[in-house]
Amino acid sequence: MDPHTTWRALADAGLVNGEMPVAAASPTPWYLRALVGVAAWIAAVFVLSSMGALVYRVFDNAMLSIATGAILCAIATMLMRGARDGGLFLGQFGLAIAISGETLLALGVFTAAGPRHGVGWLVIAVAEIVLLFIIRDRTHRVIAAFFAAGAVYAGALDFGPLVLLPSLAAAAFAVTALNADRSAASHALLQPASAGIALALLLFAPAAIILEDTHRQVQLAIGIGDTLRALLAAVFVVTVAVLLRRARVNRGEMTAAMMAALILAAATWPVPGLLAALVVVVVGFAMQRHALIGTGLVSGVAMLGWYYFSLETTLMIKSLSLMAAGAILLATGWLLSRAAPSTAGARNA
Amino acid sequence: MSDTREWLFDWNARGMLATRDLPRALTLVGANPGHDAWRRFLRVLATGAGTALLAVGVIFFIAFNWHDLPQMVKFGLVEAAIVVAIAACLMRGVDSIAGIAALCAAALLTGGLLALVGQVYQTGADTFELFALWALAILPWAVAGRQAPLWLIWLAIVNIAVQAWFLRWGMRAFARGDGVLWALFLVNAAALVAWEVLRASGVREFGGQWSLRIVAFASGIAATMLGFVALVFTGESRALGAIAWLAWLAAVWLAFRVRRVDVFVLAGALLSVVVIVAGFLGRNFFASGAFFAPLLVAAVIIALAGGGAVMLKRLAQEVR
Repeated sequence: MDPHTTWRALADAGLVNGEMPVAAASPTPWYLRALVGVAAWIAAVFVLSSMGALVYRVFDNAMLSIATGAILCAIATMLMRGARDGGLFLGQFGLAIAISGETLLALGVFTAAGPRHGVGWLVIAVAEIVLLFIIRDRTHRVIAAFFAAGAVYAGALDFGPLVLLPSLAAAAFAVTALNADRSAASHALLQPASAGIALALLLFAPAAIILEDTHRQVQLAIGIGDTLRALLAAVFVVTVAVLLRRARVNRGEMTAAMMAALILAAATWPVPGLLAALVVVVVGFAMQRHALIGTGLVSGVAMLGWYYFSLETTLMIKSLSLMAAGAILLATGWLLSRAAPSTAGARNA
Repeated sequence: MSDTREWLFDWNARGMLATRDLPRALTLVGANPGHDAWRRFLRVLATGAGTALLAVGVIFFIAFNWHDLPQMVKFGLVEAAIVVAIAACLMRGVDSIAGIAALCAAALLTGGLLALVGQVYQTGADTFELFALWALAILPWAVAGRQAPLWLIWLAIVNIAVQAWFLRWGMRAFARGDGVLWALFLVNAAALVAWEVLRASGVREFGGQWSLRIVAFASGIAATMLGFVALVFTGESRALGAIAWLAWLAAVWLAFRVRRVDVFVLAGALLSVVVIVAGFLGRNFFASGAFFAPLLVAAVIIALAGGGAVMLKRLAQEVR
């Protein structure tokens, strides 16, 4: 659908009036933003190397690191304000400076925190959240959200509630992604933030689960892994319920879908990373974000690979749980194929 | 993220579309999935994931290495699962979602069967032989089934077989130790060429955009690793690797810029250039010891990636 057809459709429905405005610049495809982001990371390594040579003791002195990092972040903010209308070149430059500044900031905070690593990580997380609001570049927002979630995860290693993180990250992702369509302002902030949280979730949820297994064997009470699984399952089921409500399905469909979600959550109990991936996949589809769907699917396959080598249970239990989950999904697929296509195809989802 | 969504948010930001009307507008122009789109998506997801989990579950079951289970029962179980999968494929039709999933499951289970042979008879076969035989065994299904997912599974198995061969036998046998990089490069580059030629010839199963992009991604990773080793780690002593990487870049340019346009593949090639140029300049400039040398490298990276991304965005708008 081109912009003129879209405008006409909205005008016919009485949602807009008058002539269509001059079209804004087309959005940058996600893979070009990913290219810019990865290149900015590489460039930031070289910028940091120069800083090390240029500013004496910038990596050793906490205050100097923080001050230099803050100056670089301020420069990046100004550069990216100038690049707001999709200016990829200036945005790329600003992004490299921002990543360098944030790394120096984090280094300074971490050095100042000394042995209180957890506090240091939480301060870094807060700083990243502030930068998420201040620097309005979309790629930077993905990176800042990813950094913030990563810092919370690292901080939790010190404080102990590691068990909560995958479910908290999954809930944060679902909430930010599903609220991104409320207005242009929330879209600009929450759409990239949710992508950063999703990346952190898919990377850190498996890591948290693996670490939790290790911790459980050495110091934590037995049963904590089950808490993690229960919380993640709860987030998955609630997300499905919210999506069904948004889709305005009838009571019968709602009951059947909720039953399937509950059984699936139970069947995938031993592989909780799968549920995290499923949350990303279904929310990604609801928001028509194909990169998220692909990332979720790849992460799900990776979780299955990890599950094979996990020492937490026997291959027999693993086999039975996978076959049970597979059978439930196949039955769901079969039931869906039996259902007649909706006559109200345009109904909201 | 579709352009349509972006237009609606742009009009909302300019005050031309009320915030309260956004949800209705998104649905009206088809930017949110409707009832039928959801049903189809969930059906594909449930059938695909369900079949994969079931097949992987059977493989885990075999890997459990039951001592109490007679050998014939073990073989019978896996063979029965393969027969059921093939029967399901034939019954539902090889072009249906269920048919494709069943055929892929049969292909995965074949690997389980071969692993079982090795487990029961202790044939002494190494990992390479398992994966090579597996690839050979499912090749007829890939040819007859004519499904892109099955070809991708086949290519993944070939990649693992190649790596396994070099890990076992070939580390020093070919191209002074980086033989595995050469082999992966040649396999994936050949796959990309074949995929693109077959797509251009109108062969149905190679017509999908994303399956080709996955193969291009694999080929790009292999080419970049080869070029990186040649240009960054060892300089001119492995010039052949650098020539191969440049040839890959030229081929990608010809195929995906001159003959037709695929911005995703071109973006991957640009990232490959950025990575190798950064490594090459970094290696040589760091040796100079000048504080501004890394800044120069950063500037080159930003110019390459930023400038390249601007050009690719324009290209994407032209072909849209």
